[in-house]
Amino acid sequence: MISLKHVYKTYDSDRHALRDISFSLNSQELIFLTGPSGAGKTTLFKLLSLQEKTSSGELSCHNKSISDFNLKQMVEYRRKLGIVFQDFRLLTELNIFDNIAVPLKIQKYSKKEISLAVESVLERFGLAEHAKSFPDYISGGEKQRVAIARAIVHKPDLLIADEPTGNLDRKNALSVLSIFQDLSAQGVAVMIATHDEEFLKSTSSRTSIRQIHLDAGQVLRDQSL
Amino acid sequence: MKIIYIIFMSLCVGILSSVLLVKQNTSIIFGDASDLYTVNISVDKSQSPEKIESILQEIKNIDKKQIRKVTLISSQELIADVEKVLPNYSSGLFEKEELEQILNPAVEVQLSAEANSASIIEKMKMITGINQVVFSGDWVEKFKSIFTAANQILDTVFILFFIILSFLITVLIRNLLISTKESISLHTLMGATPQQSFFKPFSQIMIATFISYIIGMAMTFLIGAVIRQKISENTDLGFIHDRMSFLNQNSLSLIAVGLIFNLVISYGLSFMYIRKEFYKND
Repeated sequence: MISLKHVYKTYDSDRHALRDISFSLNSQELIFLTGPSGAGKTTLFKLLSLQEKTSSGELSCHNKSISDFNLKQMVEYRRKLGIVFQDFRLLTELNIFDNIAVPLKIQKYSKKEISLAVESVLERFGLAEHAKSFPDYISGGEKQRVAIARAIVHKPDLLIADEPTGNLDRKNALSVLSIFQDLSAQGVAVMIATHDEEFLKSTSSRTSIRQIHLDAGQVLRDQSL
Repeated sequence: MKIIYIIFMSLCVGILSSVLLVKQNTSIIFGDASDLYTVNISVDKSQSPEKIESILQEIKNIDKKQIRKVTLISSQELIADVEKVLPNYSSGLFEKEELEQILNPAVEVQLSAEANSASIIEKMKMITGINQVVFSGDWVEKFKSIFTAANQILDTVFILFFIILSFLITVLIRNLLISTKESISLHTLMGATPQQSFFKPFSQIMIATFISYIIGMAMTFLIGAVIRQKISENTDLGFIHDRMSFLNQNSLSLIAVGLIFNLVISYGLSFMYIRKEFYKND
């Protein structure tokens, strides 16, 4: 589905954030992207979400180079993408229901469809009682769950999550991990950036799980778990 | 931020419309006041109708551009005017024949505001058969150069204000959009088109602009009303009071079109900015 071939990302002509990255990510696959801070995980996510362009190498989706995408194709690609941001990036002027509904509204779902889909994820994440609350009035863990709910509500083909369990306790983190595994089993390609390698040991063998370990912008390890 | 925008925009609209209001009224009071540029000519009674016709033609021929209208008022018309003006109880004061002896036929000549009245009057006096030439607008004439200069200054001020304020409005709208950059960025990452991503902030700006237009116009209307009131208290300036008016449809439309123009420019610039910033691939 997504393929990277000898991808480089360089800033200020000499600062290499990513060097010679090559791997592919397919449907029903769950990849854990591990590595210390500054390893290049966030840069890789920025490339995958088209926030940044590669300096060299090829990044393709369904064998079509992403660098060649025009505006319409970029919009289409992003609509099939779910992103969980490390800092949640919830819209403070919207309540939880409306925050989760944003991707559906962008894609012009009907009010009934939006209501059904949002209520379903609110239930799934135990957020139903906070539907009318605003982000400033819920806890960090709840914000994280809202961010994940928003990323999956439109049933994306590819989900990328930057430290999605960073603010969750063990129980909630495992619950989120289980959701990601479910999504993967349903055909979604999932890529999770985490620095918590202990977390990887909690995964079940329901789906194909890989670990890609980055350091100083390079892939040090790419292995199945 | 939006409150600051509304205050700033209201002031912009208020300043622009006030300049237009002053310009429009000076123009009405002094520029197009054709009756202030009227020359009244008294023709010798002895002239035959043919000679009077020839006098009219000679007057017209002095300068076809500077002379806007020439109207003959016959003795009979003047008598009818006198009868209308005199109260009914004094109707027997003059016999019609007596009035015909007293009242000479008159010619009313309307000059254009740009006319060189002194030269035209001199030429009129030289026409044989003309008894007397009276120009009521000579005081206007004295101040005409001042009014013309004032009008030109107002034109320049309006254009300058328009350009400066257009620039400031565009910058302000752009900054307003950038202040919602986080929300725009999030929308674009979720697959919003550039238009979708700034539809909400831009529609808020449009509403704020509309509110500012109303507030700015209300301010100008109030200022105009106060000035009119002050003038009406001064009996010497009564004729100005009667001529004063609020902004006409053209001026109101000009300000509205100016604002719409600024919004369109800002929309275009914002679109380009968002496309460059959030759709780097494109």
